[in-house]
Amino acid sequence: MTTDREDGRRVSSLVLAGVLVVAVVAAVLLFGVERAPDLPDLADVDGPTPPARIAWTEHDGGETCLHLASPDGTVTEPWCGEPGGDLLGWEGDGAVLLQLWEVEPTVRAVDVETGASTTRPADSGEGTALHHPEEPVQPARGDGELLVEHGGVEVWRTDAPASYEIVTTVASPDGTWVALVDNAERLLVVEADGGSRPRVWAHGVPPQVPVWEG
Amino acid sequence: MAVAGRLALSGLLTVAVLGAGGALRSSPAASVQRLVSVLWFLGVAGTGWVAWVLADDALGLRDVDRALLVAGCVALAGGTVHLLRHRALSQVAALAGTVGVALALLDRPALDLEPAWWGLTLLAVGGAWAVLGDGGWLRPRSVAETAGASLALAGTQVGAFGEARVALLGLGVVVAAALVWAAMTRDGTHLLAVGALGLFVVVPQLVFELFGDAIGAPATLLVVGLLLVVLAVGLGRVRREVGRDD
Repeated sequence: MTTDREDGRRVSSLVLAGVLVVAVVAAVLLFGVERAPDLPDLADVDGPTPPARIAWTEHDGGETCLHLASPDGTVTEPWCGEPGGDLLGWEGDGAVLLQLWEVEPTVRAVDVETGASTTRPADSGEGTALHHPEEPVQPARGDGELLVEHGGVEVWRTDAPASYEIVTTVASPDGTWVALVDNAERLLVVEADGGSRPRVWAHGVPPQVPVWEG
Repeated sequence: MAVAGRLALSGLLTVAVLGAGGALRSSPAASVQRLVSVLWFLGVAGTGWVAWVLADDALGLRDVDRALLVAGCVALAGGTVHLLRHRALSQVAALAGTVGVALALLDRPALDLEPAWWGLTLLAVGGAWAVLGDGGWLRPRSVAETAGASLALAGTQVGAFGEARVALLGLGVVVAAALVWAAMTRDGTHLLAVGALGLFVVVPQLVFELFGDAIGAPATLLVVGLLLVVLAVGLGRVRREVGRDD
């Protein structure tokens, strides 16, 4: 049988533990959690649309999934499978090329319309990335603001917490649009002349370099 | 192996281990009781394994969702086992699951949190665990206090990797000193051990952080050495006081 003193100690310990946990949870939620800039989805907002599709890959273990975002804002997953590989680029007939993770240089061509894929030995020219190299789209930070420039033109300026970063950038083949991947796993798209605010083209995008079609 | 096969294998092994523990549970032999503790600890780990296979292979959950599911299952299983028998291993399993849930929740926001918040969360979980042990909610009490105190100190170390390094190290000194004080005011040799270790680990770091650039490395080392000698002498006296109370 417990004494009153022991009962009091039990209650006070429970209260103290609860206060400690609640206080830290509140502090984390109020001061610790930071949010990425709030942006509308491309599919939800009327306005100019990107000129072409864009592809990226997502790896999980040995498996690779190919993702595709279309100018109308839809996102599809035309192919998933093993062995996985790195994204090389597009072929002229609407197929995406992957450099497979195999000893012998091997390329997988995925038909993004049907999801069918074929593999072939890589030509010497296919051993390196065919995708458009990252052009001078330069994110920079100053005074709590994030600034993205392309060719000397301000594409996007926004208030953003210090933990928010643009992980990778790539301009469209015609140079009129810029795709950005941020560390909130969003694929953003914005006009290269800064004429509009960025919109979210896809969510859940890993820090891989996406490749524009064309 | 197909998903169903992996699920069946992990599930069967987990059930077997838990069942074996349950069958031996009523034995009066102390060695068998220890075996039951180990079997049920393994059973809790097996629950995590089943949850992992379910989350990864069967459901294809994202990393953050998978971690939360696994940690939640471990916490639930560990807590259940601990409610059935208040032993050290089951308590450790429950604590591990609880820490896992906390860390999995912290990993959910899109933008990474500063290390200080991770550290403070571990400090809060550890501190709450130790306090609940002191209040008799978690038994054995000494295991709860030791594990909780150790986790709290580890939290200050984790948090010290960020920009708030000095503040977290200072907090670590306060926590360690509080443990030493608690050891003096009640019969807590285990608290003295954790507190003393904490002081020896954190104080040199804090001294280097505060004075390293101002007075140079050799002088800082001298200060640290002198402080450690003072600490050792002081803690030795505390140990004699605690030993008298025991």
